[in-house]
Amino acid sequence: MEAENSQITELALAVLDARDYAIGAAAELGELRYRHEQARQEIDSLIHQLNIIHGSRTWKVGELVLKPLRIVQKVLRLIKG
Amino acid sequence: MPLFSIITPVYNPPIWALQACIDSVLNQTCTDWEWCIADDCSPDPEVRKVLEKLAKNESRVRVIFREKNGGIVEASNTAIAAATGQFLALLDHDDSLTPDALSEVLKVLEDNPECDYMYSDEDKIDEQGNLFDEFRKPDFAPERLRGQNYCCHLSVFRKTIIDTVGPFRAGFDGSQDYDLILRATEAARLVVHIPKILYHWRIVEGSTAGSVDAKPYTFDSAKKAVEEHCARVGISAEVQSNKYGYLEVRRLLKNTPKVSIVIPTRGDRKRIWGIDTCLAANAIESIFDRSTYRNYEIVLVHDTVDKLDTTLAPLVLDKRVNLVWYSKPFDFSEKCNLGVIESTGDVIILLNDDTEVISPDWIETLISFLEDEDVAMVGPMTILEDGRIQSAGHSNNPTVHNLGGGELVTSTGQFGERLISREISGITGACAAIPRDKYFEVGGFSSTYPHSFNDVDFSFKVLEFGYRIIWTPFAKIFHFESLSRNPTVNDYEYHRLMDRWGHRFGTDKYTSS
Repeated sequence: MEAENSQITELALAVLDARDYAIGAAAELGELRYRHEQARQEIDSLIHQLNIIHGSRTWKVGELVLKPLRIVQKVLRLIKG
Repeated sequence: MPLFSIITPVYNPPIWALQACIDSVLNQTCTDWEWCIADDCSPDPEVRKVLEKLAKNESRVRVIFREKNGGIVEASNTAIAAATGQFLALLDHDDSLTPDALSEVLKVLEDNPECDYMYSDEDKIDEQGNLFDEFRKPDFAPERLRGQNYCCHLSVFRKTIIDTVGPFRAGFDGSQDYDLILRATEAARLVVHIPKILYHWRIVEGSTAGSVDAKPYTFDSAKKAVEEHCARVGISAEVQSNKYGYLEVRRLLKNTPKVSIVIPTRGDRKRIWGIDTCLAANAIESIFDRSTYRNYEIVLVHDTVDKLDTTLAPLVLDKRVNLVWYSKPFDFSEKCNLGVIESTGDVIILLNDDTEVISPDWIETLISFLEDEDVAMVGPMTILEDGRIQSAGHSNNPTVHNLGGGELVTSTGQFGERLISREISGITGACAAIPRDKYFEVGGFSSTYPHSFNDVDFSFKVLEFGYRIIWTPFAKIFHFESLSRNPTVNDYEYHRLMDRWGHRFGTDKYTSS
């Protein structure tokens, strides 16, 4: 009888553990989704900032100034073969 | 787009304050409003002149000059009767709205089309125009609302809700808005808190904003409003106002369920009040000696030992005590779960062994809140040996911590939060009342956290299931914190907590700090 009672208690503890495990796993999934969404928002924000930079006059002027240098680099690479 | 009706009763305000109030309305970035002003026979003729000029220059302003003075309730209702908008925003004659006030309300309505009542954060403004006393409010918290009108300004009601519950009521002068908010929130489909300051409450001589003594009759009105609210929602309670103007709502038990007090212990002895004491024996004796509630059992979950402490041994012979042996390595969560499994009560009170009962009615007070079906956890004020607060509940902002920790037990907290029972994001596992069915529903205390944070995790699970957690200052116990075990926090337990609930930190629905 005592052994059976002890087994029932252990099983009841296991049921509680299993329930907690399931709830915890759902919470972890929610947390991962939250972090994923945060990361996605951060990436979107960085892309947005990058687009602003690429669209700026400073960037375009810099690109224009450096264009001859890039052509020279390409030619040198061709020569070196 | 909805039309907002701003409701303002006017009675003899200082002209400069009235002008500031007018400017704040005219400067609204949202233009879909009308302003319904009821002048309650202001003796100062300048008030009439200012209002007449305003109505002449601004077609959206409707001023009604009442023929006889009727007081704030009648004047407010006169203004409401003139309103044609779908939403009513209350504005006092000497206060100011922020320019974006109605725009922010509009945003809330776009996101929450079912919202029937919303309130914002607020601050105060002095005669020099200085802003102070910023009140960052909790999300809708009905228990807190019973203790104080924390919603207050800015309040915006859907007109149909006012049509349903009725306008301001006579007999509640000074707390007529509190009474209206209570009735509106009872009927509202959705109540939304706007976490942004949209209202500056003017401090002028004699205003309620300045001092709780300014209009003492408001205490009686507030008490009456809460008493009637409790009766309407089926809460049996005694309501008293305290010296700060807050309301002590003491619930009266409808039922006396069997309570199982689960005490996990190793049988340690420590010095309390300078005397070498068996902690568990001290806790049990305090329950026996001081508790007025009778229908309880104590489940003592004790690490397996050859011989019980000599002071504890006679106590476990009492028929109210059920001794359960625990023979595994230390795991606080599993000890609690074992105690609950072995208990027979409908309500569980988890109690650390390093505690001592102070309030004789501590059990009645804790379990009274559990009569609300959506409450799953209630905790008391826990007090250190030296009389300072150990915990007045948990906050998760920026990370989990005990509120009030180390403060004097007489401290009022921010905006009286230590003086009233209120919703909270977590409570210490040192003493927590939980309905048995809900304990099992949320999976009990997690063995993922054998030492620390098990109460934090449990609180989060409770919130995740949509239940409320209540902290009350009306039940007090001593908690001789961490006298019974090493208080070191394990890193792995903290990381596991973050893995589950990281997104819940850095913000708190119910506490601003």
